[in-house]
Amino acid sequence: MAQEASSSTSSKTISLKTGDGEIFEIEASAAKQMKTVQRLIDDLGDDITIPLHNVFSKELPKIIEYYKKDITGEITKDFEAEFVKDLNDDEVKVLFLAANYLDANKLFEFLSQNIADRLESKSVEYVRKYFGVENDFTPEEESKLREERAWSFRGIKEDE
Amino acid sequence: MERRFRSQISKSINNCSDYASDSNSHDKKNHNLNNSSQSSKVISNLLLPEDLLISILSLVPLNCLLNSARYVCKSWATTIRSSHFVETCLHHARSKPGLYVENRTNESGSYFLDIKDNVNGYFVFERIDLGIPPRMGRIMGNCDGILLLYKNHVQTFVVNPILNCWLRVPPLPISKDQIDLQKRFTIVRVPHTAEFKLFFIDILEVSGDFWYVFYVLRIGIDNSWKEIARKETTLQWNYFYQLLYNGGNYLYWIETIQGVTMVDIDKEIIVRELPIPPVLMDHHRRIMFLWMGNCISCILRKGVKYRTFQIYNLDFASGKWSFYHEMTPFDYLVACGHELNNILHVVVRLWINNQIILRVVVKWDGKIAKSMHFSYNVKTRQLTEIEGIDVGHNHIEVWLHTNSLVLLPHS
Repeated sequence: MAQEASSSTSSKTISLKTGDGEIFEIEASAAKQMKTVQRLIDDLGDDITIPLHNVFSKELPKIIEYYKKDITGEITKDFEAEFVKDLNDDEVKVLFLAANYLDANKLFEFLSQNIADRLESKSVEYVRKYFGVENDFTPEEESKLREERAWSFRGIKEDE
Repeated sequence: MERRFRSQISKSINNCSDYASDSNSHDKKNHNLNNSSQSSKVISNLLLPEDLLISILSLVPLNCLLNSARYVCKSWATTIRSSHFVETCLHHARSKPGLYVENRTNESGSYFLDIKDNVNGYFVFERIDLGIPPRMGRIMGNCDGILLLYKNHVQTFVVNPILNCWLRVPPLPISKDQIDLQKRFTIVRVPHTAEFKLFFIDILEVSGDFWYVFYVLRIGIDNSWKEIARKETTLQWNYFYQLLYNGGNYLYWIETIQGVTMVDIDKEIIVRELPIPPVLMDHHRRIMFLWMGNCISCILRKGVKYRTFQIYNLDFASGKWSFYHEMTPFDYLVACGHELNNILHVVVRLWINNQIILRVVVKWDGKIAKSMHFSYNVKTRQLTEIEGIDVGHNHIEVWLHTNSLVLLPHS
Protein backbone atom coordinates (compact mmCIF):
# COMPACT_ATOMS: atom_id res chain seq x y z
CA MET A 1 0.00 0.00 0.00
CA ALA A 2 2.08 2.92 1.19
CA GLN A 3 5.29 3.60 -0.70
CA GLU A 4 8.49 5.23 0.44
CA ALA A 5 8.19 9.01 0.26
CA SER A 6 11.32 9.27 -1.81
CA SER A 7 10.07 7.15 -4.71
CA SER A 8 8.85 8.97 -7.82
CA THR A 9 5.13 9.74 -8.01
CA SER A 10 4.73 7.69 -11.12
CA SER A 11 5.26 4.45 -9.27
CA LYS A 12 3.19 5.46 -6.30
CA THR A 13 -0.22 3.91 -5.86
CA ILE A 14 -3.22 5.26 -4.06
CA SER A 15 -5.78 3.14 -2.25
CA LEU A 16 -9.43 3.83 -2.87
CA LYS A 17 -12.24 2.42 -0.78
CA THR A 18 -15.67 2.13 -2.38
CA GLY A 19 -19.00 2.83 -0.71
CA ASP A 20 -19.51 -0.88 -0.24
CA GLY A 21 -16.21 -1.34 1.50
CA GLU A 22 -13.90 -2.73 -1.16
CA ILE A 23 -10.41 -1.44 -1.71
CA PHE A 24 -8.78 -0.81 -5.09
CA GLU A 25 -5.37 0.51 -6.04
CA ILE A 26 -4.62 3.07 -8.70
CA GLU A 27 -1.50 4.82 -9.89
CA ALA A 28 -1.01 8.29 -8.48
CA SER A 29 -0.87 9.67 -12.01
CA ALA A 30 -4.28 8.17 -12.74
CA ALA A 31 -5.63 9.64 -9.51
CA LYS A 32 -4.56 13.05 -10.76
CA GLN A 33 -7.10 12.72 -13.59
CA MET A 34 -9.91 12.38 -11.06
CA LYS A 35 -10.07 15.77 -9.48
CA THR A 36 -12.25 14.68 -6.58
CA VAL A 37 -9.75 12.01 -5.64
CA GLN A 38 -6.88 14.44 -6.00
CA ARG A 39 -8.63 16.92 -3.71
CA LEU A 40 -9.09 14.23 -1.11
CA ILE A 41 -5.45 13.26 -1.43
CA ASP A 42 -4.43 16.87 -0.96
CA ASP A 43 -6.53 17.06 2.17
CA LEU A 44 -5.90 13.66 3.68
CA GLY A 45 -2.46 12.73 2.40
CA ASP A 46 -1.54 10.02 -0.05
CA ASP A 47 -0.83 7.15 2.26
CA ILE A 48 -4.31 7.02 3.66
CA THR A 49 -7.04 4.99 2.00
CA ILE A 50 -9.26 7.46 0.22
CA PRO A 51 -12.96 6.85 0.89
CA LEU A 52 -15.36 7.21 -2.06
CA HIS A 53 -18.83 7.01 -0.60
CA ASN A 54 -20.68 7.32 -3.88
CA VAL A 55 -18.73 4.94 -6.04
CA PHE A 56 -19.14 1.21 -5.73
CA SER A 57 -17.20 -1.92 -6.46
CA LYS A 58 -19.25 -2.62 -9.56
CA GLU A 59 -18.10 0.44 -11.45
CA LEU A 60 -14.78 1.52 -9.98
CA PRO A 61 -12.72 -1.21 -11.69
CA LYS A 62 -14.05 -0.09 -15.07
CA ILE A 63 -13.07 3.48 -14.31
CA ILE A 64 -9.65 2.40 -13.22
CA GLU A 65 -9.29 0.39 -16.42
CA TYR A 66 -10.04 3.51 -18.47
CA TYR A 67 -7.51 5.68 -16.71
CA LYS A 68 -4.85 3.00 -16.78
CA LYS A 69 -5.06 3.28 -20.56
CA ASP A 70 -5.21 7.03 -20.42
CA ILE A 71 -1.96 7.53 -18.55
CA THR A 72 -0.08 5.45 -21.09
CA GLY A 73 -1.70 7.48 -23.88
CA GLU A 74 -3.35 4.44 -25.37
CA ILE A 75 -6.93 5.56 -25.56
CA THR A 76 -8.07 5.06 -29.14
CA LYS A 77 -11.46 5.01 -30.82
CA ASP A 78 -11.25 1.24 -30.88
CA PHE A 79 -10.52 1.04 -27.20
CA GLU A 80 -13.43 3.34 -26.40
CA ALA A 81 -15.79 1.35 -28.62
CA GLU A 82 -14.74 -1.86 -26.92
CA PHE A 83 -15.02 -0.24 -23.49
CA VAL A 84 -18.74 0.45 -23.85
CA LYS A 85 -19.66 -2.38 -26.15
CA ASP A 86 -20.96 -4.76 -23.50
CA LEU A 87 -22.43 -2.18 -21.19
CA ASN A 88 -26.17 -1.75 -21.14
CA ASP A 89 -27.78 1.68 -20.92
CA ASP A 90 -28.13 1.60 -17.15
CA GLU A 91 -24.55 0.53 -16.58
CA VAL A 92 -23.37 3.43 -18.72
CA LYS A 93 -25.51 5.78 -16.68
CA VAL A 94 -24.00 4.56 -13.42
CA LEU A 95 -20.49 5.02 -14.82
CA PHE A 96 -21.42 8.47 -16.06
CA LEU A 97 -22.65 9.54 -12.64
CA ALA A 98 -19.53 8.10 -11.03
CA ALA A 99 -17.31 9.96 -13.50
CA ASN A 100 -19.18 13.13 -12.61
CA TYR A 101 -18.73 12.52 -8.90
CA LEU A 102 -15.04 11.80 -9.35
CA ASP A 103 -14.70 14.86 -11.59
CA ALA A 104 -12.96 12.69 -14.15
CA ASN A 105 -13.34 14.94 -17.15
CA LYS A 106 -12.17 12.80 -20.02
CA LEU A 107 -14.28 9.82 -19.04
CA PHE A 108 -17.23 12.10 -18.35
CA GLU A 109 -17.12 13.61 -21.82
CA PHE A 110 -16.70 10.26 -23.48
CA LEU A 111 -19.65 8.79 -21.59
CA SER A 112 -21.81 11.88 -22.23
CA GLN A 113 -21.31 11.32 -25.93
CA ASN A 114 -22.03 7.64 -25.58
CA ILE A 115 -25.29 8.22 -23.75
CA ALA A 116 -26.29 10.85 -26.32
CA ASP A 117 -25.57 8.35 -29.09
CA ARG A 118 -27.63 5.67 -27.36
CA LEU A 119 -30.58 8.00 -26.97
CA GLU A 120 -30.66 8.84 -30.63
CA SER A 121 -32.64 5.81 -31.63
CA LYS A 122 -34.84 5.45 -28.58
CA SER A 123 -38.50 6.24 -28.14
CA VAL A 124 -39.78 9.06 -25.98
CA GLU A 125 -41.15 6.59 -23.45
CA TYR A 126 -37.80 4.83 -23.17
CA VAL A 127 -36.04 8.13 -22.58
CA ARG A 128 -38.50 8.97 -19.83
CA LYS A 129 -37.86 5.68 -18.07
CA TYR A 130 -34.11 6.02 -18.52
CA PHE A 131 -34.00 9.39 -16.84
CA GLY A 132 -36.74 8.59 -14.35
CA VAL A 133 -38.98 11.37 -15.60
CA GLU A 134 -42.77 11.43 -15.76
CA ASN A 135 -44.75 12.80 -18.67
CA ASP A 136 -46.48 15.94 -17.44
CA PHE A 137 -47.99 16.98 -20.77
CA THR A 138 -51.72 16.73 -21.28
CA PRO A 139 -52.65 15.37 -24.72
CA GLU A 140 -53.72 18.90 -25.72
CA GLU A 141 -50.44 20.43 -24.63
CA GLU A 142 -48.49 17.80 -26.47
CA SER A 143 -50.36 18.25 -29.73
CA LYS A 144 -49.96 22.01 -29.47
CA LEU A 145 -46.22 21.52 -29.10
CA ARG A 146 -46.18 19.29 -32.15
CA GLU A 147 -48.07 21.85 -34.20
CA GLU A 148 -45.35 24.39 -33.55
CA ARG A 149 -43.07 22.42 -35.79
CA ALA A 150 -45.23 22.82 -38.82
CA TRP A 151 -44.66 25.79 -41.10
CA SER A 152 -47.31 28.44 -40.79
CA PHE A 153 -47.68 30.81 -43.69
CA ARG A 154 -50.01 33.45 -42.53
CA GLY A 155 -48.81 36.77 -43.81
CA ILE A 156 -47.05 35.84 -47.02
CA LYS A 157 -48.88 36.99 -50.11
CA GLU A 158 -48.41 35.32 -53.47
CA ASP A 159 -46.93 38.30 -55.22
CA GLU A 160 -46.67 41.86 -54.10
CA MET B 1 -17.21 23.03 -20.93
CA GLU B 2 -17.91 23.77 -17.35
CA ARG B 3 -19.89 21.55 -15.12
CA ARG B 4 -20.29 21.23 -11.42
CA PHE B 5 -20.53 17.97 -9.63
CA ARG B 6 -23.17 17.65 -7.01
CA SER B 7 -22.60 15.69 -3.91
CA GLN B 8 -26.36 15.44 -3.63
CA ILE B 9 -26.17 12.57 -6.03
CA SER B 10 -25.27 10.54 -3.05
CA LYS B 11 -28.33 8.42 -3.32
CA SER B 12 -27.38 4.90 -2.66
CA ILE B 13 -28.06 2.71 -5.62
CA ASN B 14 -29.82 0.32 -3.33
CA ASN B 15 -32.37 2.75 -2.04
CA CYS B 16 -35.34 2.93 -4.38
CA SER B 17 -37.43 5.16 -2.18
CA ASP B 18 -35.41 8.08 -3.52
CA TYR B 19 -37.46 7.96 -6.68
CA ALA B 20 -40.65 8.83 -4.84
CA SER B 21 -39.10 11.79 -3.07
CA ASP B 22 -37.48 13.24 -6.17
CA SER B 23 -40.12 12.58 -8.72
CA ASN B 24 -41.68 15.79 -9.96
CA SER B 25 -44.85 14.01 -10.80
CA HIS B 26 -47.80 14.68 -8.61
CA ASP B 27 -49.70 11.87 -10.15
CA LYS B 28 -48.91 8.96 -7.90
CA LYS B 29 -51.18 6.53 -9.58
CA ASN B 30 -48.94 6.59 -12.62
CA HIS B 31 -46.04 5.83 -10.36
CA ASN B 32 -45.54 2.56 -12.02
CA LEU B 33 -42.08 1.16 -11.57
CA ASN B 34 -40.74 -1.45 -13.89
CA ASN B 35 -41.59 -4.84 -12.64
CA SER B 36 -38.59 -6.36 -14.35
CA SER B 37 -35.36 -7.14 -12.57
CA GLN B 38 -34.65 -5.49 -9.25
CA SER B 39 -31.38 -3.84 -10.16
CA SER B 40 -32.55 -2.24 -13.40
CA LYS B 41 -35.69 -0.92 -11.70
CA VAL B 42 -33.65 0.79 -9.06
CA ILE B 43 -30.86 2.13 -11.27
CA SER B 44 -33.20 3.62 -13.82
CA ASN B 45 -34.70 5.76 -11.10
CA LEU B 46 -31.64 7.90 -10.61
CA LEU B 47 -32.42 11.42 -11.67
CA LEU B 48 -29.93 13.73 -13.28
CA PRO B 49 -29.59 17.35 -12.25
CA GLU B 50 -30.08 19.89 -14.99
CA ASP B 51 -26.47 20.65 -15.74
CA LEU B 52 -25.71 16.98 -16.36
CA LEU B 53 -28.84 16.71 -18.48
CA ILE B 54 -27.63 19.61 -20.59
CA SER B 55 -24.21 17.97 -20.95
CA ILE B 56 -25.85 14.96 -22.52
CA LEU B 57 -28.62 16.65 -24.49
CA SER B 58 -26.27 19.10 -26.15
CA LEU B 59 -24.57 16.12 -27.78
CA VAL B 60 -27.80 14.59 -29.08
CA PRO B 61 -28.51 15.26 -32.77
CA LEU B 62 -30.99 18.05 -33.40
CA ASN B 63 -33.52 15.86 -35.12
CA CYS B 64 -33.75 13.65 -32.07
CA LEU B 65 -34.06 16.67 -29.79
CA LEU B 66 -36.87 18.10 -31.85
CA ASN B 67 -38.74 14.87 -32.50
CA SER B 68 -38.33 13.03 -29.21
CA ALA B 69 -36.55 14.80 -26.40
CA ARG B 70 -38.84 17.81 -26.53
CA TYR B 71 -41.85 15.68 -25.70
CA VAL B 72 -40.37 13.91 -22.69
CA CYS B 73 -41.71 16.40 -20.19
CA LYS B 74 -42.29 20.13 -19.77
CA SER B 75 -39.02 20.95 -18.12
CA TRP B 76 -37.11 19.26 -20.94
CA ALA B 77 -39.09 21.26 -23.52
CA THR B 78 -38.17 24.43 -21.64
CA THR B 79 -34.50 23.49 -21.35
CA ILE B 80 -34.23 22.70 -25.06
CA ARG B 81 -35.74 26.05 -25.88
CA SER B 82 -33.52 28.04 -23.54
CA SER B 83 -30.88 30.25 -25.10
CA HIS B 84 -28.20 28.81 -22.81
CA PHE B 85 -28.87 25.37 -24.24
CA VAL B 86 -29.04 26.63 -27.83
CA GLU B 87 -25.64 28.26 -27.47
CA THR B 88 -24.14 25.14 -25.88
CA CYS B 89 -25.32 23.07 -28.86
CA LEU B 90 -24.00 25.60 -31.33
CA HIS B 91 -20.68 25.51 -29.57
CA HIS B 92 -20.47 21.78 -30.23
CA ALA B 93 -21.86 21.99 -33.72
CA ARG B 94 -19.54 24.72 -34.81
CA SER B 95 -16.88 22.22 -35.45
CA LYS B 96 -19.20 20.14 -37.60
CA PRO B 97 -21.01 22.16 -40.23
CA GLY B 98 -22.71 20.40 -43.12
CA LEU B 99 -23.83 21.40 -46.59
CA TYR B 100 -27.16 22.99 -47.31
CA VAL B 101 -28.10 22.25 -50.91
CA GLU B 102 -30.46 24.89 -52.23
CA ASN B 103 -32.55 23.90 -55.20
CA ARG B 104 -33.43 27.20 -56.81
CA THR B 105 -35.80 25.69 -59.30
CA ASN B 106 -37.87 23.83 -56.74
CA GLU B 107 -37.46 25.13 -53.18
CA SER B 108 -39.00 22.20 -51.43
CA GLY B 109 -36.33 20.11 -53.10
CA SER B 110 -33.65 21.68 -50.92
CA TYR B 111 -31.94 19.46 -48.38
CA PHE B 112 -29.18 19.28 -45.82
CA LEU B 113 -26.19 16.98 -46.06
CA ASP B 114 -24.75 16.00 -42.71
CA ILE B 115 -21.10 15.08 -43.21
CA LYS B 116 -20.49 11.68 -41.66
CA ASP B 117 -17.06 11.15 -43.08
CA ASN B 118 -14.67 12.95 -45.41
CA VAL B 119 -11.61 10.98 -46.31
CA ASN B 120 -9.45 11.21 -49.44
CA GLY B 121 -11.74 13.80 -50.93
CA TYR B 122 -14.79 11.55 -50.67
CA PHE B 123 -17.74 12.68 -48.65
CA VAL B 124 -20.12 10.34 -46.89
CA PHE B 125 -23.34 12.18 -46.26
CA GLU B 126 -26.56 11.61 -44.44
CA ARG B 127 -29.25 13.47 -46.29
CA ILE B 128 -31.94 15.26 -44.35
CA ASP B 129 -34.86 16.81 -46.16
CA LEU B 130 -34.97 20.37 -45.01
CA GLY B 131 -36.83 22.29 -47.64
CA ILE B 132 -37.41 25.99 -47.60
CA PRO B 133 -41.00 27.04 -47.89
CA PRO B 134 -41.95 28.08 -51.38
CA ARG B 135 -42.56 31.74 -52.15
CA MET B 136 -39.84 33.00 -49.86
CA GLY B 137 -37.17 33.50 -52.45
CA ARG B 138 -33.53 32.59 -52.74
CA ILE B 139 -30.82 32.24 -50.16
CA MET B 140 -28.57 35.30 -49.97
CA GLY B 141 -26.51 34.20 -47.00
CA ASN B 142 -26.62 32.15 -43.81
CA CYS B 143 -25.23 32.16 -40.32
CA ASP B 144 -25.54 29.80 -37.32
CA GLY B 145 -28.45 27.90 -38.75
CA ILE B 146 -30.40 30.91 -39.99
CA LEU B 147 -30.98 31.42 -43.73
CA LEU B 148 -31.53 34.83 -45.30
CA LEU B 149 -34.07 34.57 -48.10
CA TYR B 150 -34.82 37.28 -50.64
CA LYS B 151 -37.61 37.38 -53.15
CA ASN B 152 -37.91 41.13 -53.63
CA HIS B 153 -37.28 44.15 -51.49
CA VAL B 154 -40.53 43.78 -49.57
CA GLN B 155 -40.40 40.02 -49.34
CA THR B 156 -37.26 39.24 -47.45
CA PHE B 157 -37.15 36.68 -44.67
CA VAL B 158 -34.89 35.06 -42.14
CA VAL B 159 -35.68 31.42 -41.60
CA ASN B 160 -34.56 28.53 -39.44
CA PRO B 161 -35.42 25.51 -41.57
CA ILE B 162 -35.04 22.94 -38.84
CA LEU B 163 -37.42 24.73 -36.49
CA ASN B 164 -39.69 25.88 -39.30
CA CYS B 165 -39.76 29.39 -37.92
CA TRP B 166 -39.38 32.58 -39.90
CA LEU B 167 -39.44 36.33 -39.58
CA ARG B 168 -40.13 38.92 -42.22
CA VAL B 169 -37.47 41.60 -42.62
CA PRO B 170 -38.41 45.29 -43.01
CA PRO B 171 -38.29 46.46 -46.65
CA LEU B 172 -34.85 46.94 -48.11
CA PRO B 173 -33.79 50.50 -48.89
CA ILE B 174 -32.89 49.79 -52.49
CA SER B 175 -32.64 52.84 -54.67
CA LYS B 176 -33.89 51.12 -57.77
CA ASP B 177 -35.01 47.73 -58.85
CA GLN B 178 -32.09 45.37 -58.91
CA ILE B 179 -31.87 41.66 -59.46
CA ASP B 180 -28.37 40.76 -58.52
CA LEU B 181 -28.40 41.30 -54.77
CA GLN B 182 -26.68 38.14 -53.75
CA LYS B 183 -23.23 39.54 -53.45
CA ARG B 184 -24.34 42.66 -51.61
CA PHE B 185 -26.56 41.25 -48.93
CA THR B 186 -25.82 38.96 -46.04
CA ILE B 187 -26.56 37.91 -42.47
CA VAL B 188 -23.99 38.06 -39.69
CA ARG B 189 -23.85 37.42 -35.97
CA VAL B 190 -21.95 39.59 -33.53
CA PRO B 191 -19.74 37.18 -31.55
CA HIS B 192 -19.96 38.66 -28.11
CA THR B 193 -23.65 39.59 -28.07
CA ALA B 194 -24.94 36.72 -30.26
CA GLU B 195 -27.10 39.29 -32.03
CA PHE B 196 -28.02 38.70 -35.68
CA LYS B 197 -27.70 41.58 -38.10
CA LEU B 198 -28.23 42.06 -41.80
CA PHE B 199 -25.89 44.11 -43.94
CA PHE B 200 -26.92 45.41 -47.33
CA ILE B 201 -25.00 47.51 -49.83
CA ASP B 202 -27.04 49.56 -52.23
CA ILE B 203 -25.72 50.99 -55.49
CA LEU B 204 -27.01 54.53 -55.64
CA GLU B 205 -26.77 56.85 -58.59
CA VAL B 206 -26.81 60.58 -57.90
CA SER B 207 -26.45 62.82 -60.98
CA GLY B 208 -24.18 60.49 -62.78
CA ASP B 209 -22.05 59.62 -59.76
CA PHE B 210 -22.26 56.22 -58.17
CA TRP B 211 -22.15 55.42 -54.50
CA TYR B 212 -22.06 52.25 -52.48
CA VAL B 213 -24.31 52.85 -49.49
CA PHE B 214 -23.88 50.51 -46.51
CA TYR B 215 -26.95 49.66 -44.44
CA VAL B 216 -27.46 47.59 -41.32
CA LEU B 217 -30.49 46.12 -39.58
CA ARG B 218 -30.66 44.29 -36.25
CA ILE B 219 -32.99 41.35 -36.55
CA GLY B 220 -35.99 41.43 -34.27
CA ILE B 221 -35.02 44.85 -32.95
CA ASP B 222 -34.98 47.41 -35.78
CA ASN B 223 -38.01 48.34 -37.87
CA SER B 224 -35.98 50.13 -40.47
CA TRP B 225 -32.54 50.07 -41.98
CA LYS B 226 -29.78 52.39 -40.87
CA GLU B 227 -27.16 53.86 -43.17
CA ILE B 228 -23.68 53.52 -41.74
CA ALA B 229 -21.40 54.66 -44.56
CA ARG B 230 -21.18 55.48 -48.21
CA LYS B 231 -18.29 55.23 -50.61
CA GLU B 232 -18.04 56.82 -53.98
CA THR B 233 -17.14 54.66 -56.94
CA THR B 234 -16.87 54.88 -60.66
CA LEU B 235 -18.99 52.05 -61.91
CA GLN B 236 -17.70 50.27 -64.92
CA TRP B 237 -19.75 47.85 -66.90
CA ASN B 238 -17.50 45.03 -65.80
CA TYR B 239 -17.11 45.80 -62.14
CA PHE B 240 -16.67 43.03 -59.62
CA TYR B 241 -17.88 42.87 -56.03
CA GLN B 242 -18.44 40.32 -53.30
CA LEU B 243 -19.27 40.23 -49.58
CA LEU B 244 -17.34 37.81 -47.40
CA TYR B 245 -18.17 36.77 -43.87
CA ASN B 246 -16.65 34.04 -41.75
CA GLY B 247 -18.57 34.18 -38.50
CA GLY B 248 -16.32 36.65 -36.73
CA ASN B 249 -16.61 40.30 -35.85
CA TYR B 250 -15.75 41.64 -39.30
CA LEU B 251 -17.48 41.68 -42.64
CA TYR B 252 -15.44 42.19 -45.81
CA TRP B 253 -16.67 44.01 -48.88
CA ILE B 254 -14.47 43.37 -51.89
CA GLU B 255 -14.82 45.53 -54.97
CA THR B 256 -12.94 46.35 -58.17
CA ILE B 257 -11.92 49.92 -57.45
CA GLN B 258 -11.98 49.99 -53.70
CA GLY B 259 -10.25 46.76 -52.83
CA VAL B 260 -11.11 45.21 -49.48
CA THR B 261 -13.25 47.18 -47.04
CA MET B 262 -13.37 45.79 -43.52
CA VAL B 263 -16.51 46.52 -41.50
CA ASP B 264 -16.79 46.03 -37.74
CA ILE B 265 -20.23 44.46 -37.42
CA ASP B 266 -20.54 45.24 -33.75
CA LYS B 267 -19.67 48.93 -33.94
CA GLU B 268 -21.15 49.18 -37.44
CA ILE B 269 -18.28 51.18 -38.87
CA ILE B 270 -15.66 50.75 -41.55
CA VAL B 271 -12.38 50.10 -39.81
CA ARG B 272 -9.89 49.41 -42.55
CA GLU B 273 -9.32 49.47 -46.28
CA LEU B 274 -6.84 47.32 -48.17
CA PRO B 275 -5.95 47.53 -51.83
CA ILE B 276 -5.97 44.61 -54.21
CA PRO B 277 -2.99 44.41 -56.53
CA PRO B 278 -3.43 44.80 -60.30
CA VAL B 279 -2.26 41.25 -60.92
CA LEU B 280 -5.63 40.24 -59.52
CA MET B 281 -7.98 43.12 -60.22
CA ASP B 282 -7.05 43.37 -63.87
CA HIS B 283 -8.68 39.99 -64.22
CA HIS B 284 -11.89 40.88 -62.51
CA ARG B 285 -13.90 38.50 -64.61
CA ARG B 286 -11.80 35.59 -63.52
CA ILE B 287 -11.55 36.05 -59.81
CA MET B 288 -13.53 34.85 -56.86
CA PHE B 289 -12.89 35.35 -53.17
CA LEU B 290 -13.18 32.80 -50.43
CA TRP B 291 -12.40 32.32 -46.75
CA MET B 292 -9.91 29.49 -46.51
CA GLY B 293 -9.58 28.76 -42.83
CA ASN B 294 -8.50 32.01 -41.24
CA CYS B 295 -7.40 33.63 -44.42
CA ILE B 296 -9.06 35.53 -47.24
CA SER B 297 -8.05 34.03 -50.54
CA CYS B 298 -8.46 35.10 -54.11
CA ILE B 299 -8.90 32.35 -56.67
CA LEU B 300 -7.78 33.41 -60.12
CA ARG B 301 -8.63 31.42 -63.20
CA LYS B 302 -5.78 31.19 -65.67
CA GLY B 303 -6.52 30.51 -69.28
CA VAL B 304 -9.84 29.85 -70.92
CA LYS B 305 -10.34 26.20 -70.27
CA TYR B 306 -11.45 26.25 -66.62
CA ARG B 307 -8.74 23.89 -65.57
CA THR B 308 -6.06 26.00 -64.00
CA PHE B 309 -6.55 28.18 -60.97
CA GLN B 310 -4.19 30.04 -58.71
CA ILE B 311 -4.74 30.96 -55.09
CA TYR B 312 -3.52 34.20 -53.57
CA ASN B 313 -3.77 34.89 -49.84
CA LEU B 314 -4.18 38.15 -47.98
CA ASP B 315 -1.98 38.76 -44.99
CA PHE B 316 -3.98 40.98 -42.65
CA ALA B 317 -1.02 42.21 -40.70
CA SER B 318 0.83 43.65 -43.67
CA GLY B 319 -2.19 44.14 -45.92
CA LYS B 320 -0.34 42.42 -48.74
CA TRP B 321 -1.45 39.71 -51.10
CA SER B 322 0.88 36.89 -52.03
CA PHE B 323 0.77 33.87 -54.25
CA TYR B 324 -0.02 30.71 -52.31
CA HIS B 325 -0.79 27.75 -54.53
CA GLU B 326 -1.38 26.83 -58.11
CA MET B 327 -3.94 24.09 -58.37
CA THR B 328 -2.97 21.04 -60.34
CA PRO B 329 -4.80 21.32 -63.65
CA PHE B 330 -8.22 19.79 -63.29
CA ASP B 331 -8.57 16.38 -64.77
CA TYR B 332 -12.31 16.07 -65.09
CA LEU B 333 -12.03 12.67 -66.70
CA VAL B 334 -10.44 11.22 -63.59
CA ALA B 335 -12.64 13.18 -61.22
CA CYS B 336 -16.03 12.30 -62.65
CA GLY B 337 -15.51 9.71 -65.33
CA HIS B 338 -15.97 11.83 -68.39
CA GLU B 339 -14.44 14.84 -70.05
CA LEU B 340 -16.16 18.17 -69.64
CA ASN B 341 -15.78 20.16 -72.80
CA ASN B 342 -18.54 22.71 -72.66
CA ILE B 343 -17.90 24.40 -69.38
CA LEU B 344 -19.89 27.59 -69.03
CA HIS B 345 -18.44 28.63 -65.74
CA VAL B 346 -16.86 27.47 -62.50
CA VAL B 347 -17.89 29.01 -59.20
CA VAL B 348 -15.96 28.64 -55.98
CA ARG B 349 -18.50 28.08 -53.24
CA LEU B 350 -16.91 27.27 -49.92
CA TRP B 351 -14.02 25.88 -47.97
CA ILE B 352 -14.15 22.85 -45.70
CA ASN B 353 -11.53 20.42 -44.37
CA ASN B 354 -8.75 21.70 -46.63
CA GLN B 355 -11.02 21.42 -49.63
CA ILE B 356 -12.44 24.02 -51.95
CA ILE B 357 -15.96 23.13 -53.09
CA LEU B 358 -16.69 24.22 -56.65
CA ARG B 359 -19.72 24.23 -58.85
CA VAL B 360 -19.07 23.52 -62.51
CA VAL B 361 -21.78 24.39 -64.99
CA VAL B 362 -21.62 22.65 -68.33
CA LYS B 363 -23.69 22.75 -71.43
CA TRP B 364 -25.31 19.42 -71.81
CA ASP B 365 -27.35 17.97 -74.60
CA GLY B 366 -26.72 21.03 -76.68
CA LYS B 367 -28.92 23.45 -74.81
CA ILE B 368 -29.46 22.63 -71.18
CA ALA B 369 -26.98 23.60 -68.50
CA LYS B 370 -26.06 21.05 -65.88
CA SER B 371 -24.43 21.68 -62.49
CA MET B 372 -21.88 19.37 -60.96
CA HIS B 373 -19.96 19.81 -57.74
CA PHE B 374 -16.34 18.98 -57.08
CA SER B 375 -13.92 19.31 -54.23
CA TYR B 376 -10.28 20.26 -54.68
CA ASN B 377 -8.01 19.29 -51.80
CA VAL B 378 -5.14 21.75 -51.47
CA LYS B 379 -3.01 19.27 -49.56
CA THR B 380 -3.36 16.25 -51.81
CA ARG B 381 -4.02 18.35 -54.94
CA GLN B 382 -6.78 15.99 -55.89
CA LEU B 383 -10.03 16.89 -57.62
CA THR B 384 -13.01 14.69 -56.78
CA GLU B 385 -16.63 14.81 -57.81
CA ILE B 386 -18.97 15.18 -54.83
CA GLU B 387 -21.51 12.50 -55.33
CA GLY B 388 -23.97 13.33 -52.61
CA ILE B 389 -25.00 16.57 -54.28
CA ASP B 390 -27.48 15.92 -57.04
CA VAL B 391 -26.34 16.63 -60.53
CA GLY B 392 -29.07 18.32 -62.33
CA HIS B 393 -30.62 20.78 -64.63
CA ASN B 394 -31.88 22.66 -61.65
CA HIS B 395 -29.98 25.63 -60.45
CA ILE B 396 -28.26 24.32 -57.33
CA GLU B 397 -26.41 26.44 -54.81
CA VAL B 398 -24.47 24.93 -51.93
CA TRP B 399 -23.96 26.60 -48.56
CA LEU B 400 -21.93 25.77 -45.52
CA HIS B 401 -24.60 25.35 -42.86
CA THR B 402 -24.82 24.42 -39.20
CA ASN B 403 -28.24 23.39 -37.97
CA SER B 404 -29.19 25.18 -34.80
CA LEU B 405 -32.06 25.64 -32.43
CA VAL B 406 -31.95 29.43 -32.65
CA LEU B 407 -35.51 30.63 -32.40
CA LEU B 408 -36.23 33.85 -34.25
CA PRO B 409 -37.86 36.59 -32.20
CA HIS B 410 -41.52 37.00 -33.07
CA SER B 411 -42.32 40.09 -35.07
